[in-house]
Amino acid sequence: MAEATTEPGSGRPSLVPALERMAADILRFALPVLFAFFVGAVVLAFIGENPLDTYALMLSEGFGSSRRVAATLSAATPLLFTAVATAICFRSGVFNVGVDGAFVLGGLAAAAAGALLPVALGWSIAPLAMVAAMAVAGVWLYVPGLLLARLDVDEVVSTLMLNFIALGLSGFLVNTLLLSETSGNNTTDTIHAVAELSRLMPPSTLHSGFLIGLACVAAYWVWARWTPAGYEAKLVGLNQRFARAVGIAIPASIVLVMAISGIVAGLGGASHALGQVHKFSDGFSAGYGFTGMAVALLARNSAFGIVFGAVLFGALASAGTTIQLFSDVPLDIVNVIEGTVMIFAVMELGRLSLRRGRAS
Amino acid sequence: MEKGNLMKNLTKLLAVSTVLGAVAAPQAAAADVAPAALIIAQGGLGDGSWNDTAYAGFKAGLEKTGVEGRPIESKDVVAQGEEIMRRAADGGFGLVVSLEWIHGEPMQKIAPDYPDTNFVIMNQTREGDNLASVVFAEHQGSYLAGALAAQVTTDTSIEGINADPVIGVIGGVKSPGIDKFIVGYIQGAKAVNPDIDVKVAYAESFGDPAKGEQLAKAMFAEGADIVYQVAGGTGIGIIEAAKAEGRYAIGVDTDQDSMAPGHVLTSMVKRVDVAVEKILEDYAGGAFPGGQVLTFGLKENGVALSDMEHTKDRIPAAYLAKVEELKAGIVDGSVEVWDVTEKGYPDFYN
Amino acid sequence: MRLGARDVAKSYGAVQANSGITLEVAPAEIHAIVGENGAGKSTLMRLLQGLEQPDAGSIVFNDRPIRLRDPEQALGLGIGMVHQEFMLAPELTLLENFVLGHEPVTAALPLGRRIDWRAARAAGDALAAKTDLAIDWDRRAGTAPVHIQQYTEILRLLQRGMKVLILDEPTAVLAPQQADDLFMLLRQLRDQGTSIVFISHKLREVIALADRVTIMRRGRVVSSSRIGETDIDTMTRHIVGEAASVAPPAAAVRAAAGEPVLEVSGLSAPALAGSHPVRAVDLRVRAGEIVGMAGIAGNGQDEFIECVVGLRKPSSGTVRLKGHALAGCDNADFRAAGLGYISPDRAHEGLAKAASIEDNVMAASQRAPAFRRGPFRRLGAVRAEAFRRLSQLKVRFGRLSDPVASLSGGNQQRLVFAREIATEPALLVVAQPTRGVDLGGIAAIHAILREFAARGGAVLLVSEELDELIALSDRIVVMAEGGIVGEIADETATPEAIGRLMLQQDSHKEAANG
Repeated sequence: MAEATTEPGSGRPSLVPALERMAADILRFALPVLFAFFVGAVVLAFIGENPLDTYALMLSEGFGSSRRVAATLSAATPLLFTAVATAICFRSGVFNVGVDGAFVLGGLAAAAAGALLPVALGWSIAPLAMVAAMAVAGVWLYVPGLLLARLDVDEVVSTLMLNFIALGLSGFLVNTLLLSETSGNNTTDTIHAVAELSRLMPPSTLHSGFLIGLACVAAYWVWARWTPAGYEAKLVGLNQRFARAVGIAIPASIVLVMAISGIVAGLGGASHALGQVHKFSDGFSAGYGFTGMAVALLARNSAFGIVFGAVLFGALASAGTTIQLFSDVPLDIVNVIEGTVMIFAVMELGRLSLRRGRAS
Repeated sequence: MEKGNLMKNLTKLLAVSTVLGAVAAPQAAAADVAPAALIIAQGGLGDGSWNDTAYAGFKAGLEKTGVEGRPIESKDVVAQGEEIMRRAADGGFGLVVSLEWIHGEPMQKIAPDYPDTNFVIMNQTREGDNLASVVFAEHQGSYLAGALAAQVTTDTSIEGINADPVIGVIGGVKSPGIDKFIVGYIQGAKAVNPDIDVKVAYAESFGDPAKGEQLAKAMFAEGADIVYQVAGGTGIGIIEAAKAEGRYAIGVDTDQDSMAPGHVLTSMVKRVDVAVEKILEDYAGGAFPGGQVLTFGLKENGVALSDMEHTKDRIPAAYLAKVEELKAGIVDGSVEVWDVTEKGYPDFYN
Repeated sequence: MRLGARDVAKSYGAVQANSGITLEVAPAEIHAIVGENGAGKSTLMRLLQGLEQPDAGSIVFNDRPIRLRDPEQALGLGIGMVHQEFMLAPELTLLENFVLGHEPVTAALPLGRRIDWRAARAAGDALAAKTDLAIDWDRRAGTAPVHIQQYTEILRLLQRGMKVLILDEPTAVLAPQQADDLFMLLRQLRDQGTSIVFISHKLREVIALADRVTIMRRGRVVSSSRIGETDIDTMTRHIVGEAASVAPPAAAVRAAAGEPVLEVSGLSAPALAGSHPVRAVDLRVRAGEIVGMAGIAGNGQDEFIECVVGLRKPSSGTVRLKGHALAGCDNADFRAAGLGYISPDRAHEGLAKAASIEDNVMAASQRAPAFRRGPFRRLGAVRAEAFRRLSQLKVRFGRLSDPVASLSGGNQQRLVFAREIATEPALLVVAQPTRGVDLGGIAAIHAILREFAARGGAVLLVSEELDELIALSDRIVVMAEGGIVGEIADETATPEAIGRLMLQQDSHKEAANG
């Protein structure tokens, strides 16, 4: 029984203009990134590389020509999906870390459909494969959503475990039922050529999955801002007791965001299978679900932020690799930068879990 | 036109690199030879195995030929393969060797776009005038491992060996690529002792040492005293089990004898370093074997048993002589070892 | 004086929680502290424990002024507190809890140190014997009955040599027989020289147990007297204040009570922690009528309210809103039938503090047809409505996109009313509407409620402020121990009459019959 409550704010109407708030948002995005590059520079200097020259090279490898831009966007493509899939849950205070598993299973389903559906189906194979991927991955995350909503099973634990199950399951399937007969290794057959997503800037691997990813981000923006369900999900994320007291069905909202998250992650897996890898193999996801989580946290769940964050991490991945062709800077430097951004992003996450603590 | 631009870019970038002091002083011999790139497979450098061995050969080859070259690592090596290879070719690299299995298909696809660049893929056969495929006759090396194990397994004078003619092999997963090893091993064992019992198990994983240890211990309990591991990281557990139970394991891919000295009978070494070095030499000498499938077998020294540093003294010389005799037979063609990836499964296995 | 306070003052922002408090607890004395919620008891206890430091004045221990930096220091001096929610680790055994934080260890060697469980058990048994208790030390704390948990907590403090024990409403969770046992224990401890400070709402208990009683009201000490020198009526008067400045109810402007809007019958519900279950409550609220509900906190009001607004499922009974049977339905169904709800916990339930002003004032309307076009929200219409709602109740704000936390307490509560009244509900369930609101804000909120009732709305008003209930209500029901123990018509309502019902369980039967 708190006998004296202090009230924050004292009748002073806030005069912070919208512009200032936007600047603050941008700063919150840019600060971790800048700090990460600073840490990277220290490490570079320590190993005897000139940080400025290295960053100039990275910039040129990331964005220096239309081909390099295409390579960056290509690397950013899966992150658009996984970041949206993560953000939609985080926004509702649902700490779903199972996007990677859903992405993998979606990719497996799409690759299997793309290879096994009769080639006579022609152009319709790709959409069918995507639907299969969305269905599989949607159900995959619907289950922990239901467990959370109805039985209060902690979603962090359940989705984390489901990642392992997804990896094990896909590993088993590509080594047994779906193993390519023409291959000595752990992959499915290559999908039919007609099922491949078209390339946007040949010869770059940038494919139309990128546009689908952008469409997902846009749809997320519209959903969050323009639909009652998106508004309700936001209130659930901000304060569950409040949401309940204004008549919002919290279990339904949680299950909905988890299912949507699965669907988006599955679509991402399909895009990656049909557009990029053209099959499913071990190492299909280079931890896209987790990088997507960093993007979502960095972007504070905003749609625009997700696009920037995905491009940033895409550039780090593509440039971080190809600078090795022209310098002695090891891949580790990229890991340092990504890791530092992650740490800052995780500080946001700490706030999220604080809120979870309070809500319960 | 685009290409010209890129060349200009490259010059610029190389200039930057030089400023960084990153580029080793090129040797005279290679002044007119474009640089080489080695794309590191999943697992990365420091895996103590496939990637590290190949990189050792790469470095040796660079040193020998004076060609300039770099290893390329990527966190997302599966999906980025095509972009990396294109970037290397665009960037003026004359030789692109990929250690990543999954790169075979995109490599075959992009090779025609870059006639001035030579491509090399491992462990599979791809086509293209400027593309060379490297395969290893692992079945041959495994045959020798089987022949050695079959002799040792009944010699109770050797510490840790029982009289039962039982040996084992554990694969990572059931696939033709792994069964190539297993079938060669069985064939080699049966060549010296037709009555031998070879126990086979699959760990369903290449990264589960606990599972490997468990399977190996089960085999030891069933009377096997030597177990061949064809299971990557899972195999570490198999070697651990051999050490714990006082039995023997046989290593694979790289020389794993020192992982448990005295408990690794031998290792079936895949000399990817030999292959990479050989290719570099051919390339530097203007004789890149474009369009060819290069098989590195016993004859090419592409597969071999390890030097058995820790176990040689315990193994009677006659056994090693028998192994050498079989090896000579394979090299001269009088002994033929079954290759699952080419001929499918033989009658004696599945 | 063993423990006390001299002219202590403490404020939180604008709220003066304690002012000029002087308290004297003698050695070997049981000293009761009573007062309404918000009277400042908890703040005083926090000061005595070193959880906070006074703005002015000082804490006195063994006749010497001291400055308590933190609870550890208070514990070191021998001042320990048994909280309402026990501080036991539920997964550990009672014995482990008993020694937690000051475990006896074997040997002096730093390396060979282990917990000496034999010594721990011997100490526990000795202490239990001294206080005539039998405790199964191996039981997990989480599974032990509450009174045993409480004993463990008390013994744990005694083991650490406490000279003063502070107990916060120790009988709230106990059955009557268990409470009697606790009193025996406390008397025994007193006789052995321990000073005991206990906070209570139950005056009968105070009379039965305490040697001395200090009564607080609105942050001040109203009286402090030996038990033999006072009586329940005097105490009640001190607790609720003199029947003073109560504004006469504006009955004239009220519409005559109309059709029943809310009909509750036989409603029962399980209790929240430390509270009372609701037992068989009947209640009816008519259109145009304000029904007040009085009661000491924790007597079932919270549970009852949650059942009536669809946030809790009753175990039995019916709730009808405008004739719709809704017991067990969700809040959304209640709202659809015509409910508006002002939560008692504005900070955590009435508002989403991190959300914008617009989102707060428009919540619950997101699916209304007026604000939708097909599957999409009409953001323009939403904004316009938000402006309308806020300006109608004269909420002063900067921008709609500002966080709601930027508003003052009074403005926040007006915003909540703006949201809940905008949908023109038939019934408004209002709990603690003026908590944390300044005087001007209180007047405005009272005006809003009167106006709502005058337009024919039904209001169920739950408040711990008796003045407020008397000023607004047409009739007042009093809740105690989960049931309605009496009803007082507007004309006869005085704080004393209500307070007597709230505090004296002896008289509730006749009142309920009357």
